[in-house]
Amino acid sequence: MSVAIIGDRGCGKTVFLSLLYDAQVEYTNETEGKFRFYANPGFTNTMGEVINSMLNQNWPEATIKGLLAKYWFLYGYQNIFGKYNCLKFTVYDIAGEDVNIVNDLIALYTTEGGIESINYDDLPDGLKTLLDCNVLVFIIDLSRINAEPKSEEFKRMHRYDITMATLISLVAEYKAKKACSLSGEHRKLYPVFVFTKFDMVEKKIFDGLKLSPKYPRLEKRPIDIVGGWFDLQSKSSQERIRYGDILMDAFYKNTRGLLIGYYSLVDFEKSAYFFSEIQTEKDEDGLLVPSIEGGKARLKYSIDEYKAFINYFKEIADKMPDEVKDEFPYKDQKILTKKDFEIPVRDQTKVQTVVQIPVQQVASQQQPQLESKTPGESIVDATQLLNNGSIEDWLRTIEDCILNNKEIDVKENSYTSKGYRNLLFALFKLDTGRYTEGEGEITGIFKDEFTRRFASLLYTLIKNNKLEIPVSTTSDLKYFTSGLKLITPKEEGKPKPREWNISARGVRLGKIKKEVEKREDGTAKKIIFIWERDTTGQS
Amino acid sequence: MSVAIIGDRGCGKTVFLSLLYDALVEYTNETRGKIRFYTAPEFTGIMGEIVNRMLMQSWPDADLKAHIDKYWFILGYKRNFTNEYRKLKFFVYDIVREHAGIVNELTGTKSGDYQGRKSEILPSALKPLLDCSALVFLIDASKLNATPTSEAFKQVEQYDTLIASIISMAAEYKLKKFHGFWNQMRKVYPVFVLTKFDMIDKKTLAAVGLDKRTKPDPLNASHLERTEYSETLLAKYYRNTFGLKENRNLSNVEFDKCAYFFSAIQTEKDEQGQLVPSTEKGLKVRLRYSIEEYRAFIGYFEKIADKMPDEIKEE
Repeated sequence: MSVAIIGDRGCGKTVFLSLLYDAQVEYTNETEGKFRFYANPGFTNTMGEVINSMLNQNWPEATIKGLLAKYWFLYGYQNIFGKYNCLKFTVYDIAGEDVNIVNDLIALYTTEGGIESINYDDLPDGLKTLLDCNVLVFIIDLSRINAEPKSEEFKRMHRYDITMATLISLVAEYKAKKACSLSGEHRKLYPVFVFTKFDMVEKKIFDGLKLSPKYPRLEKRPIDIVGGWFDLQSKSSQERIRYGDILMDAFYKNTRGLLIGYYSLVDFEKSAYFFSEIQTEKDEDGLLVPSIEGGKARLKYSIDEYKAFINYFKEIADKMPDEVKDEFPYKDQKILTKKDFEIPVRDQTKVQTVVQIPVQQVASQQQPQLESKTPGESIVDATQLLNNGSIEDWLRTIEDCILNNKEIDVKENSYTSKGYRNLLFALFKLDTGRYTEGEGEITGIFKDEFTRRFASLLYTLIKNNKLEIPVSTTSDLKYFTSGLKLITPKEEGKPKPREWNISARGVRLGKIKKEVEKREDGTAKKIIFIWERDTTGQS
Repeated sequence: MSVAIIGDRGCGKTVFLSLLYDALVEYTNETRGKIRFYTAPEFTGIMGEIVNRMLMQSWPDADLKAHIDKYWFILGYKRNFTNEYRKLKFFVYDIVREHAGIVNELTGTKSGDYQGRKSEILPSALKPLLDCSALVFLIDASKLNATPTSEAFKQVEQYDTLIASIISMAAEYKLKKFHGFWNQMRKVYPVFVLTKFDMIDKKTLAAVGLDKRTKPDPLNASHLERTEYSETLLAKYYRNTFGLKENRNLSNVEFDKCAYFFSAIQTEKDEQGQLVPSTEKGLKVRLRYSIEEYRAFIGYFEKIADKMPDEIKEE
């Protein structure tokens, strides 16, 4: 039984996955081999970087986020015969307006002949995996329920509700029509909801819903021979379901309505709810950053919830595993333990704020060419430009892409390259007023999320000489500051910068200043960036 | 069993259907499994998006409205002591003027000319209407106008003729199709939903003596009270439709039991002075609309589903 983990933009997916990774390391140690996990070594490295970053009291860099869109991992639970019941987890990013997966699936249903006429083997791999899933884990950013009506966050919350409902009905429909020969359990859908940023929900919400600000904790039981840890049938478990149902009723009623009232041949299991919260403290700007357990170099987060999450899937794996193995696959793979991540807190000599993934060095001094793979193909292979492209090369490339309706494919592992830095400078130098559809025409040529979002925020700043980012939209803040860090790397040991001088090839383009608007309690409410263009042309 | 929802252009069909969707979601959550609904997955997104836009205090855009004509959904009511559901399938019909012309021509023809061929001549889009056991007509209350010379009044007259024609044609078709069957199978249930009731002209109410009366709400008023109120209002403007009541040839149309519902959505002025949907400013942001009427609408069809023989229900 495959599991899909689904989240939209800024829902806390990266933090959730990294804390899950941290918890599974601990769970493995506690259950002494009865639980095993595996992830591709590249992702193991990425997860390590994210945890390191948080142990240094920084939220994960936005440059990492793109890598997680292709993340998958495997869990193995030892059964009473000593074999491993395995489950595969795949992560899906259903970002705000880019609900491509949902649109692709709807297109399948509206094809002439309907879903029955679709040849499963012809489907793209991503869709195949999603349709095969029996467990849908939705990550819900609970801090959005604080949002003011008509605000962007409020809109996002409602749109995500619809997206979840649509996705559940699409998968259910597929199972009802295409998997009718399968047994009841294989056609069953298990909805799981992980409420992230639980610590950020305002008290008035709990008061209004007559809910305790503390969710009911699961009762622990001694580890039994198969590694069970939490009693999922206990009274507190039922109270948790009620607690989660109330939150869903109030703020995600379309999804909840669908799970209760969807008339389908597919059965829905009762929803399971998990709560993710991480303790935070204020940094010098009043921004909330992860809090560390003194001396232990450990994050303070709801680790029991994460363990309960792992535990929950044990029951599913027992019922319907993806596969049963005598030995957990990849048994020779080195599994990192907690020790691998333990580094001294705030040891500035070890701070790595950007993922250090080596970039292929292609030593070519030729004039970079715009390489369309085949004539007429609309995606530009920018490998060479990313290695050593100059600002002028990028300006020409961007111009060509806009005029000829092409896209630039920036690979996630090239953000630290010299060529990519020049691309960011080129974005500063570009005259956006030349394009009829404005800056949207420029941002639209970038295939990767990071460049597209950074460019979009940058042009808002340049156009209005000001960019205001509420701290509730942490992902926007992270995308923007990560981009600024790439252009003006932070000097080790110095405090967080309050202004960035933007100079390309020794010519000053301008200065970005940061201001913080604070609430009464001293926490940051809004970060304001101010753009001062340099008109002197000084070097 | 099939139910047709029939509306003229601009009668408030999109808002009605999206509010019905919203009410269904609420009702389902409250009744916890006693009622179930199903629609094609693409409509889950479309209906949700329409409700969202109204929550953002703007009316649904044309891009979303375009999908409404193909919208359908199934309602399932749980039978007592079993896990079975009585199902009703709802279709939406957008009646366009050209169709109206054909329907009127057919029903206006002297008997014998088109005998037995009416359903064949009917536009294909309208044919499934005849198989429906319940016909829901959306009536734009804001167009009920007291001035007989106005354009709105003329449109109401045209729509009235069309409704009357459809009801009589469906009754005739059922009578032939189920000749010799149990009487219940031949029944046609007309349902009228007065949309935009919040925009009804006060003069219209005064013209029929209803200006001093409050609309009987579905929680406290009896079926008879609601029927009397609605028919007082509609009899003046929908003379052809309500004239059918006197026609004994339509004995298989349950006019005495036909139901009336009122759809109203509270509005407020935006910064440009335009009326936009109003929302409850509480913890849960909800649209302010006549949700009790919608609940009564959903509940009414449970009663119809109960009465229908299984052959019809399982269609």
